[in-house]
Amino acid sequence: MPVNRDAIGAHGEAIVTVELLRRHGRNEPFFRPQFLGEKYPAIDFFVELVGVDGDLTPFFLAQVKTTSTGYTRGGRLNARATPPMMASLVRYPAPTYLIGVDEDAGRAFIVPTITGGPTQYRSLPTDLPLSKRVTLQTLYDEVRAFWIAHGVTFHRSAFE
Amino acid sequence: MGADHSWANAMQAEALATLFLTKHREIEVVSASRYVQRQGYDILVRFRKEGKGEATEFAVEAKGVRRTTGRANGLRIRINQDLLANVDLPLLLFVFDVDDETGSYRWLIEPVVMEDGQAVLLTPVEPSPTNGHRPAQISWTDLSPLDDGALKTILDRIATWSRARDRSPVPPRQRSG
Repeated sequence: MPVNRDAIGAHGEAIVTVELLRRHGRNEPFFRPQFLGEKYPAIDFFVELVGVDGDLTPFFLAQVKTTSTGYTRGGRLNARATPPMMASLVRYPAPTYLIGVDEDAGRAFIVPTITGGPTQYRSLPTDLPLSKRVTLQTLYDEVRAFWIAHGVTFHRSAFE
Repeated sequence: MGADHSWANAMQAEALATLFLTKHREIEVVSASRYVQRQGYDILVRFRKEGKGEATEFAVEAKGVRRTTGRANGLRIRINQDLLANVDLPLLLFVFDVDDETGSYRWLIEPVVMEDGQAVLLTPVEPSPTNGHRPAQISWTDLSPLDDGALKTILDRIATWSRARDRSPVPPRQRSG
């Protein structure tokens, strides 16, 4: 019987990794994802942007919610994000996202977690499939723009 | 000269291999490359035939190639034969075209049950006693399509070999041919 699981599992991790690495005809991927391990409390993936000119290596953080129970009648993914989970994500001073994964169909969808935005999701929207180049390009542009506007560099250290 | 994206080919190949294998609920995978450097393979795979009994293990080395370079110019896969010498599991090479995500495979360490029932591991790839890092030359004609039918054949073969192995110890690895 299909069950809703909190653990991402190797299959869910592979779905997200494949989607984020897909080149869509480009010479290089948009992203370089790194799975952090199931034991890391709030974040599943650290994802760098590839091929950005200049001094910054922009990145975003993502938590993955997998499900094998499909969709609601309204076409939303049957995966939840609780208030404590959302609160922990927006605390990071970096772009953070939820990635909902339909394990059976091998599809993934991205949802931004924004300060002042929704504090929980009983089901996840599916407007932004990671399989589409336009989604990856928009995500890339958004994260890059965030770091250009807000990025700081580490100038001084007590260990110098 | 363009940037080196060989890391992307390697990462995509391992993710595609994991995705292919974990579609099947009876299969578990562990990313060996993540936890152990110089293991000789990327993925450790465990499965139970029909979900029962003791788990059987094999290993996968995953390589990614780009259609524009790999297929046009012939395939040149680098296999570290020093590391292969330390692997005592059935070992498969999965090669993925990272543009269309199709896969192919061949045995690097092949499980065989001899006529006398002895389970052996054979190395179709020629080992080099003098230069373990000489890349093994593997061409597209050496590979077979990787699909669900091929996986079933692979699992059946490994399960049969595993049962024979349990009846008697496996001798040191032999070179095939």
